[in-house]
Formats: sequence, C-alpha cells, structure tokens
Amino acid sequence: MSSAAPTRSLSRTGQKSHVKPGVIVVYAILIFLTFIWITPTIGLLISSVRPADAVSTSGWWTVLTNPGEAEFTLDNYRIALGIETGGRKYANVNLLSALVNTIAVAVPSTIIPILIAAAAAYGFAWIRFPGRRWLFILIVGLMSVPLQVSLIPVLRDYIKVGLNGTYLGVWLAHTGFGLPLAVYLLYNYVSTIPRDIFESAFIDGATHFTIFTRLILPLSTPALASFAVFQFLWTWNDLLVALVFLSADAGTQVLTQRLLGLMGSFGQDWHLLTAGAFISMILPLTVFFLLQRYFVRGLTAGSVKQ
Amino acid sequence: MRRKHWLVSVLLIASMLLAACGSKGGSQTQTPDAGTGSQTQTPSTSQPQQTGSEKKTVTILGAVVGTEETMFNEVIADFEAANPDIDVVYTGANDFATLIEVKAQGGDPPDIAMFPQPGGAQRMAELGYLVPLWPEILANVDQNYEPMWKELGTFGGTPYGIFHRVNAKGWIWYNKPAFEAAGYEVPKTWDELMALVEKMRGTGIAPFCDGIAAGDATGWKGTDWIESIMLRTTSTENYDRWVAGELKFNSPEVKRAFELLGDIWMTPGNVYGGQDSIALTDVAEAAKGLFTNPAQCWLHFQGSFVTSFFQEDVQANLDENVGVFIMPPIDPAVEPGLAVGGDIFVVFKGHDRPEVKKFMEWLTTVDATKKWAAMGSSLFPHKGQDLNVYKTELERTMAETIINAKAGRFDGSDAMPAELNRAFWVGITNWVSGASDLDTALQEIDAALQ
Amino acid sequence: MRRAPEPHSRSSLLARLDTPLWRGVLIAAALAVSGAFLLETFYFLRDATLPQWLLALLAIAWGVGGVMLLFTLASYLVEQFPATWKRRLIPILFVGPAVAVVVGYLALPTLRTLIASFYDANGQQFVGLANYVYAFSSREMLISFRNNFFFWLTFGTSFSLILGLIVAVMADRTHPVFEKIVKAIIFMPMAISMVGASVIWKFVYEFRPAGAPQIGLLNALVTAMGGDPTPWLLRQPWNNLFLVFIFVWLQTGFAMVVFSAAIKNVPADILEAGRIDGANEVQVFFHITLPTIKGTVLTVGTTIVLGTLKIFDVVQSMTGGNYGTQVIANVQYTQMFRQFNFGRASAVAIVLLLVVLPIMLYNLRDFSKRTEAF
Repeated sequence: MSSAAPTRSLSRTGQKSHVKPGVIVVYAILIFLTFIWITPTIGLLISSVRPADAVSTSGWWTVLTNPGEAEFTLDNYRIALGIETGGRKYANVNLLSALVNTIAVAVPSTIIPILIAAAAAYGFAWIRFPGRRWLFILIVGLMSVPLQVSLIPVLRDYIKVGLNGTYLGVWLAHTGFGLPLAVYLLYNYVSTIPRDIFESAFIDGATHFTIFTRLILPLSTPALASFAVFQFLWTWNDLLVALVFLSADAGTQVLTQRLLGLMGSFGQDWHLLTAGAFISMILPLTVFFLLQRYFVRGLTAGSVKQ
Repeated sequence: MRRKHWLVSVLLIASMLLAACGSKGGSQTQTPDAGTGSQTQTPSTSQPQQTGSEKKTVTILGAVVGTEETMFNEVIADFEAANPDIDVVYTGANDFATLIEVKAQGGDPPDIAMFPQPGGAQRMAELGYLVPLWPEILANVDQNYEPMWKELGTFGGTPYGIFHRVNAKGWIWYNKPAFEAAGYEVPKTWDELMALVEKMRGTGIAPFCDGIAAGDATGWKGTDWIESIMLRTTSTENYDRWVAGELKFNSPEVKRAFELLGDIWMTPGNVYGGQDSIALTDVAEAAKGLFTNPAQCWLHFQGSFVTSFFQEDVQANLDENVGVFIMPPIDPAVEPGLAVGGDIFVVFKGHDRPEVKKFMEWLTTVDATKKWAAMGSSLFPHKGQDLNVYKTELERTMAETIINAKAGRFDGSDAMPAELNRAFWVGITNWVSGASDLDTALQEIDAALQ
Repeated sequence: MRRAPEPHSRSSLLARLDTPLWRGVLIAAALAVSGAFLLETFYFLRDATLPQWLLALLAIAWGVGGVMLLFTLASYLVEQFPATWKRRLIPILFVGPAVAVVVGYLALPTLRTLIASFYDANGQQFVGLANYVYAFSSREMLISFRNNFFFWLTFGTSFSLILGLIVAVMADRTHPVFEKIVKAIIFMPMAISMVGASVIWKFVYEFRPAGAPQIGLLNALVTAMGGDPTPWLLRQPWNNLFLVFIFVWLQTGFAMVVFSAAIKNVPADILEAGRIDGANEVQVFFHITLPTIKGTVLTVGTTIVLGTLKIFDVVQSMTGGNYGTQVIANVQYTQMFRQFNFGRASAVAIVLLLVVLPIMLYNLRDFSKRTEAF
C-alpha cells in the first residue's frame, strides 16, 4: 500500500517545482495517517477468517509475522450467516435474517423521506401560499433536535396503534428524523432550477403534479442521490432508532442490534463478531464507493457557500 | 399523460384493489405480537380464527428466546396435547422488559407474562395490572413447592406469581480432574475455603477466575457475590430490608459482605489478572479459565447456568469434567439461604379466563417439568420430581438443593428499586476497578435513593 | 406502465362519466379503497408467516408503492376541484405531508416530552423539578456533562477538524492517484456503523493480564516494547479519550472530504499572489486558504459538535457507560429502557435539547435571514 514517493511535487498551480524536503514530510505524514486509519479494519478482516480459538488466544498480526502457522477458515461466516449452527449453541445468531431486515428497514427509510421532502421542496420553492416561510423555518429549524426527545411519546403512540416492532413504524420514524435535512438540501437545489425550464409547461396547462414528476424530479437527480446516500448510510448504521422501535423480537432485529447483542451476551464469541461486523459493512461500503461523488456533492451542497 | 387514459387507470386500480380486499375477509384481529410471527402454526392464508372447533388461545410474552424458546415451546406442546381445545402461543422478545412495560401501559397486555426477574412483576402488581392467584392454584402451590416460593411470588402481601423453571446462585465450580489430582477437599466452612485459597495461591495458578463485564449491565456478577455472602452473614430480615432500600449499603452488615468479597478479589494473586481483569472480562469468558490449557484458575463463582459458558468439549461430559459446591456457611449463627432466580409467571387483570387459569395451574405440577428437565441445563423447584429425569449428576445435585431449600431469597439486586440496582452495579464496578475506595463506593450507591 | 389502448365501445361510456364531479367521486373512492387496501395489507404483512426475504421484499414494495400511489391519487383528486379551491389545496398536497411528519415526529413529541419531564416515572404524579434536580446534580449526569463537553466536544471536534484539514491540505499537494487512495482510506470509516467500529476497536484496546498473549494491538505494541499491558478502557478519566478516538476515526473522513472540496475552490490566482509575495506554504494556508474556507470549517464543525453532544452508539457498545465513560444520550437510554423512569428519561432528553439549543438558534437565525426573500 505504500507508494514510492514521486520525485516531483505536482501542485495544481503548476508552479515550477523542485523536490523540497517539505514534500517528503507531507508524504510521510499522509502515509503514517493512512496506515493508522486502515490497520484496525485490516485486523478485523484477518480476524474474521481465523479459527475461533486462534482469535481469542493470539493477535491477528501473528498471521503476518508468522505466516507459516496461520490457519484460515470461513466457519465464522458460515455460523454468523446461520448456514451452520454449530449445535444448538449458535442457533439464534443468524445474521442473514438481520441482513434482510436491515435492507427492509433502510431502503424505504431512504426512499420515503426523499419523496416527501422533494414534494415539500418543490412546494416551498415554486408555489406561493401564505405562511410558507414560517412552515419552512419550522421544518428546517428542527434539523438539530436530538431524536431522544421524540422517542418516548412516539413509542407510546406506536404501542397504542400496534406499530411498535413493525417496519412501517421504523420507516416513519426515520422519515420524521431525516426529513428536515432532506427538505433543506433538496430546497437548496430545487430553488436554483431556472424557472423558464417549466414556464412553457405551465403555459401548456400542465399541472403542478406533472411538472413535479416529469421535470423537477429528473432534474434534481444529483441532489436526490446525494441525500439518498447520506440517509441510507444513516439508516443502515443506526442503532438507537432500531433499539427503540424494533425491540419486539429477534425476527425483526437489524444488524447493529444483533452485533450489540452478540457483544453483550456472548462476549466470548469474538470470531463471530468479526464476521458479523464485516457482513454489516459490505453493503454500505459498496454503496458508498459507487456513489461517492454524489455523497460529497450532497455534503458540500449546503455548506460551501459560493 | 393523455386525458382519458388516467381515468381508466384509476378505475382499473380501484377495481383491482376492491377485488383484492374482497377476497380476504376482514381479518383485522389485533394479534398481540408485532413483527414477523414467531407463532408456529398460524395459517398464512389469514382465515378468521373462528373455525369450527372453537380453539381458545392463551398468549404468553416472555424474555426466553433462541434455543430456550424452542425448548419452552416443546413444554407447551405437552400441555396442548392434553388440552386439544387450547392453543398456547408463546412469544419471546429480546427486549421483553420494555415491551411488557409499554404494552401494559398501553392497555394491550398478553394473557400471561413470564418475567425473568421479580422486579418487573412486582412493578406490574403495584401498578394494579395483575390478577392475584386464585384458590385452586394456591392449593397447588402449597402442595408442590416449599413455602419460600410462594413468598417469593407475593407482592404487598398478595400472592401473584408462580415459578416454573428456576436457577440458583452461589455455586463454586471447579475443574474436577485437576482438583482431585491436587488432592483438594471441598471446603465446609468459609475459613476452610480461605485456607484452600491460600494453598492454591502457592501453586502458580490463581485460585479464582472472575469477570463482571456485561455491556451496560456490567457489575451484576459482583452483586451475586455480595448477595450470597449476605445470605450467610446476616438474617433474612436484614436481607429483605437491604433489598427494600431500608438497610443502607454503608451499614456494618453490608460493608462486611463487601470486605469479605474484598478478601477474595483484592488479595494480590487471588484472581487471575487481578482487579483490572475482573472489571474488564466478560462474565461468560471468565468461566473458561478453569479449563484452558494451561489452566488460569482453580475455582469460579457463578450461578447454575454457568455450564453453557464452558468450552464445548467440557459441556460434552459435564459429570467427568466439572465439580461444584455451594458457597459454605460463613457466620455459624446464620442458616445459609439460597439465592435463587427464575421465571415468574403472572396473569394480567381481565385475562383470567378458564383456559389461562388452566395453563397456569398446569405449570405448578410436576408434569410441566419433566420434558424440560430431560433436555438439560434447566432446574425446577417442584416437589416430587423424579430426579432421574435430569441428565447429569451435576444437575441432580443442584435440583435437590433447590427443591429442599427452606430459606431462599431472590437475587437481591434484581428485586431492588431500579435506581438502587443500577447504582449497585456501577458502585461495585467502580470499587473493583479502583475508581472508588470502598467507603466512597458504598456512599455513592446509597446516594441513588436520595 | 403503459397499457394497450382500450377497445372503442368502452370509451363512449367513459366519455359520459368524464365530468369533474364524477371524476372526483371516482377518484375519492379510489383513494379510500387504496387506503383501506394498504391498511389491510399492513395487517396481513405484519402477522404473516412468509419467508423472511419475501416479507422484506413485499414490505419494501408496499411502503414505497403505497406512498407513491396515495400521492398520485390525491393529486388527481385535487385537480378536480374548482380553481379557487385548487389554489388552496395544492400547497397542502405538496407541503402537507412533510409538515405533518415533522410536527408529528419532532414538534409535538418535544412538547410532550417537556410535559412528561415534570411527572414521575410512570407519568402519574406531578413532581415539579425533581427530574431536573436529578439531571443536573446526580453523579452519573455530572460525569456525563464532563465527558460530553470536555472529552467528546473539545477533543472529538478539534481532532476531527484538525486531522481533516491536515489530510485535505496535504493530499492536495500530492500525486493525484496517491491523493485519491489516501482520501478513500481516510473516508472509508464513514460508511461503517459505530457498532461495527466498536468491534474493530475492541481488537485494538483489548486487555489481557500480563504474561498471557495480548490480542489487542495497542497492548501488543506496549508489551513488545517491554511495558506492562494497560487496561485502556478502565483508567479514568483518560479512557474517554480512547472512545473519542473511535469517533475521530469515523468523522475525520467527513471533515476531510468537505474541506477538500472547499480548498479546491480557493481561486488559484490568490494563492499564487501570496506565494509571489514571498509567503511560505504555512503562511499561505493560514492567511489565505483558512480565511477563505472559514464558513465551511464552521459548518462542518457544527455538524461534528452535534455528533459529539448526541454520542451514543460508541459508548453503548464499548463500555455500556461504565468505568466513568457515561454520556448524556446513554443516560437517557438507560433511564428509558433499563430503569423505565420515563420522567427522568424525558428530563435528560430535554437537557440534551438545551445543550444543542445554541446551535439550533444559530441555525434558525441563519434560515430566517436567508428566507427573507420568500
């Protein structure tokens, strides 16, 4: 992973460059930081393919320092995913079902707020109605409210109407907690779309609904995608909302909950935890590297003021 | 979009949906469990539940999940076989404590709740959500259990709960082959135990392994120690006052229990890895030290459920590998009490239908114990059990102790007021990790109730 | 979805039904039927015993499809109204759902939590300020305040910002390929859940007694250098820093990416002018780059500060709040789900709200300024 230090610095300004000692220092510092940043994750990866007793009796780096004695196995993944149960002991580890649950929680929790927020962003940006400024400030002003203040009342309502422990309950909760940011980001984008793009459509008698679905949504794809990545990572990695609203039974638990459960109840099953943690990372990392561009754009949309 | 087009599509959608709705008669029965059904035989074709034979349903919510849930369902199947007109549906929830709390408050409780700790059941009783035990079941309880079990299910003078599967705490486990090879004797008194510990310290292997880490419940293992010691150093009246929060932690009685534990925990060389290790090691991990190669320790203090923490090969042959004795008496004037835990079953107000009563009454009989006892790692307090049902000598020993125990008390910390329980966990953790000295730790625990 | 055009015979009947009133009635009926259908299928899905993957798939389709269906039908319905009504209803159609969700999930619950914070554990008895006395004077909360403000806010925010800046500025001067790799690696933890991160870092901080083989990386290094293994997560109060570092590891990438984008927007000619004036790189950074991206640093800083004040997952999964590592959000969770003291839990939640209030007010002022053009 180390790359040979180049012989010239390539500063974007294209100034005349000769090797300065400073450049070597820059590379050294960056390589050092990168090394610190990636080592723990490499440790996790290596640990997840080592036999159970090896994981808890010797450090993962012994695989690198002493490769002759290293053993590798995929058993941790097999047990974690419930393909093997290793007797009754691991019968309820089954992270595969938790993985399915996490997808079922994260996908709608990402799409539903986008739909609702896009409609609202369009409404605030392009429809004139009394009180819209205050409504906008109300929604966006609640952006930094800690969701802890909502948990107890919402949970009580859920119990009353039978939403507790259901996917719908969690989707709506994530929608509620993610909406202010979504409205804010999408409003920033939608309000900058030049009006003349849909002026002609209005003259042709198109309805707001048509303009919204046929013009605005396609035009806003970058902003929608950036928020989608953000919200997806957030809902996928969320622990608190899941703990509160999905606590009903093992059948609906998501990965973060199961990992926490494994930590608490089987402190000794580290080998499973490593496999489990890695299983929980694969999808968000993939999404993230595929849509990295959008993510960055979304993050910088509201903050980098020109 | 062309004009006429949408109208047709609306009509089409509407008719489709109507057809879909029509095909399934309103089955909006509010089943008590949310989420994916852990019910075993609900027909997924969503037929209304009233089909012909009028099956009556009993719903139970409990904290037992995973393998134990499978076992409990097999026990239930025995009851259903004897009562074909009753369908008992058990739902196990990982976060049972929260769920039962909100369900009860939301007016949607199950028929029966199976509390893993008495504290929750006591709360429900105090809030007036529960039905007191009725005469027929009280007759069963009086006949089939030692009186202490009735007392344990009594809150505010009224009996509410019954026991089925139980566990006992206060056992000291050892590696049988090693223990015997070294020629050690099981200690009969606290002084003998301390002498044995002294002897063991000289072997280069620590006398004890211990670990109290358990996520946000870290510390409970330490409270078990204190409770078992208290039951051997002071009267049950004092113990009860202590659990109720009346006897302070900085009282001489409680402080003495801490000091006795300190003799074990804080004497250098007594515990593998010392105090840091006790604070940081997971409860389940600590038990393994008896059987590692080389062994880390000679003894390990833990409840009857410890066997599932041992290594697989040890579990495969418990009788040959594992030895156990109960914590010996400390104060000669005090008859040692047994610290017990167990699932306590209670019925919610308005749910005491005949079929619910019938199931509860059945749980108090020996018939309800056989199947689970035979499956292993579960103990029952019912009198008149055939002890041969248990798979190992180890379980027989423990079951016998439990059945015959005259004086028993609950895991005290579980029965304490919630704030005190938590402070107890935190306090004992602070004490062992060196963050607070003993007096400070005790004061901080007491401060929780002010 | 496009369907084949219908046969002629039916369109005449349809033409007769094609009046606003009939349309309105039909669409309203369709809306009602869809609503009923969705409710019905909700109960069906909730209680069904289908294979899990199928259930998840159906649930996703139901949730996303349901939202789309209802919105589409509702907008058709609005279109049938006379013009004046239409003008009133259209904003409700577009903005209504968002307002309803935010009011229902954030605004009203906040008020209800505020009320609950003056009542006892079960919300039966009015207890005045007793819960707030607990929230501001109990040992657990005092430790939490110390940890949240001193360790998490101060160290967590500054480390993340400084490291993010260092990487952004330095990587900017390296070979593009190298820069890409470095940024990807530093950014990667962003996609990892805090619980997953805690598993990763357990293998760094794990402690084994002296003499036993160390499986934690940090203690392995210490013992390799001849030191004694240290229980990193036990030594108060510095154990907090080890938890904070996990957070820094997660957040630095976020700061770095945003800073990187901002730095690339600093006009090259200004930088060049500075260099020609004889400023060295450090001076250029402090006198030109940093002032230019100040706004960005502030925004990212705000986001990270909010993160540190609400920190929960790392503490919950690494220590459970033990060994003096308790934080406000974790006390709230514990009071709610371990102690069932809803009064105290509400008060602690309100304290958390008070803590983030300055940031909220600043944001509100900012929004009101920016929306004056509304």
